[in-house]
Amino acid sequence: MLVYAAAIAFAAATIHRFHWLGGPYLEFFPETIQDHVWPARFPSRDAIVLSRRAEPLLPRGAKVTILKPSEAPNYDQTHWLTGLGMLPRQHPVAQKLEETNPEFVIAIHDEFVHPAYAKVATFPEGALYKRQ
Amino acid sequence: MTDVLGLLAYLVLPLVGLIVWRLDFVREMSTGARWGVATAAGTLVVALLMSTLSLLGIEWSRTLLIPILLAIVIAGVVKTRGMRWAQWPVWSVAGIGTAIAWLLTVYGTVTARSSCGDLQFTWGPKAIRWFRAGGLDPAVLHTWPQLTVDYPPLQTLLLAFSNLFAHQFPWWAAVLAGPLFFLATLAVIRGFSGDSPGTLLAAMTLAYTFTLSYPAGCAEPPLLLFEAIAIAALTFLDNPRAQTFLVSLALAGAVFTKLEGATFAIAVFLTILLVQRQPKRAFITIAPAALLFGAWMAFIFRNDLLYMYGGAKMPIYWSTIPVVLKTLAKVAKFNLWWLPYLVPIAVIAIGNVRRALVPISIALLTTGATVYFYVHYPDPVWWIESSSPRVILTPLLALLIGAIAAHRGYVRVAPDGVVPQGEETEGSGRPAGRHSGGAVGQV
Repeated sequence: MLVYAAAIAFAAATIHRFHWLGGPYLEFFPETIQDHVWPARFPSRDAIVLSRRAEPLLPRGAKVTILKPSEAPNYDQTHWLTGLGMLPRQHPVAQKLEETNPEFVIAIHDEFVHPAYAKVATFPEGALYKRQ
Repeated sequence: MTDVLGLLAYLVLPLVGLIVWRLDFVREMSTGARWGVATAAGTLVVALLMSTLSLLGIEWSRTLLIPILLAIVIAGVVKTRGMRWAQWPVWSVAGIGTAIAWLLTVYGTVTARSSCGDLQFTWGPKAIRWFRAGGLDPAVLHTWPQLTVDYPPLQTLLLAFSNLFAHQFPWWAAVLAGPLFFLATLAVIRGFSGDSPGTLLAAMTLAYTFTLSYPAGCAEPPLLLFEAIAIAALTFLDNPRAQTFLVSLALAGAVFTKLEGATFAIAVFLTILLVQRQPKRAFITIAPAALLFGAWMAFIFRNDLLYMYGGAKMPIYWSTIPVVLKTLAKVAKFNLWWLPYLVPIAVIAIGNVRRALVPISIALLTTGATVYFYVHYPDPVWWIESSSPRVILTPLLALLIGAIAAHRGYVRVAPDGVVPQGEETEGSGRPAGRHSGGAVGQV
């Protein structure tokens, strides 16, 4: 009896959790694998989408990083690591711009203001910048 | 199409593992248990094959891997002729409940509610770079040292294997591997224990905890399969050969999958040594795991890649113990008043505790190892909150298997399959009688 009661409780808790994460509830295989991992949209989700959008504009082997400008100077590492998987033909580097000197910067959401970089493309989730 | 091909790679794993069906004690298991064991064996075979090719300097390719794997599959398939195919009892209430639990996990995965962040940040990028390098390439790890370079390679190799099938990296297939391994885990628990209600409890508890631990795409699903095989074999099987083989296979797989797999192997070793008091079996079962661990560490040292395992040399911050325990307790609540842990503990407490000694021992030892791991950080809170929801699934799994062992009138069946006169067999609800498969064959 305890086993069945617990199973029902866990099933209800699972459904409640899925509901808490938010809709749409019948959207199978959404745009990214991170679309509904939290009620609010993760910037790393947009890092995935931005990587896909920027990839055709990036030369093979180009050094590139991904960052969220408003997080400066303590950028979230997971953003450029996302690029490491999403941009297999390029050479993603850490966001230490002075050390790694990337040729391209993919900026999530915010404007990336840096004297050495100019915007080359704008997307709904951010923009692509190229070193001058 | 990419993800279909990527998923196909994971579906090939149990076919590769059919090779273990050549063993008589595996052939005598229930259908579900056989497939679960085959999935684990196939996973390990593929990972070892890809590692060996890299060590020999042979580049991975479909034209090389597929013929080798096909030969292994054929060698296993020829032994499946005339085999008994039992039916999974989904039409019982518990069976339907278990299927619902699995489907909930599938739903969470295909709607992107259970995806593991580390797949996107670490496992996936490492696998893609290895795929592009054509092997387990140290240069990749030196170029991007952020990729937890000395972490055991099985999960990354599986992802690279899937990438090899699909050519592009199949992100959805990577997360869908989670439910596939979960299904194999449930098949092993059900098949070894013969207990449908107990399997239902394990299925629903894990399905719920998965929603908070985000295992899809990470290494936990294969790790939990290996762990379930080891714990359930020690708890429910009587055939000494079956126990020794299955635990050896599972420990080797666990050690090759995650850093925590090594502590799990030590916990199982100590349990066999101290609880079961079988030193010879303890050393035999851990030998393949020790060999694999040694080979991996040799690779790490030779290529100057020591990172995570180097943590063993870090100082211990004993003063953090209260914080570690408090944070772990907070995580273990799973937003549900610790019910995922309290329920199996209650079932064990009102059942026969002696029957659950092996899983209890493994649960305690792995919990202790988790605490020991976290006290190596001066400020461990963030680390615990981000990683422990998955790490503490191991003691939870052990407790759930312990609950199954304790709550039913489990009768150990002799290797010849003869159940003592007048007693009922575990979980079957059927009268006792001779059965060639022993306890596991009574499904």
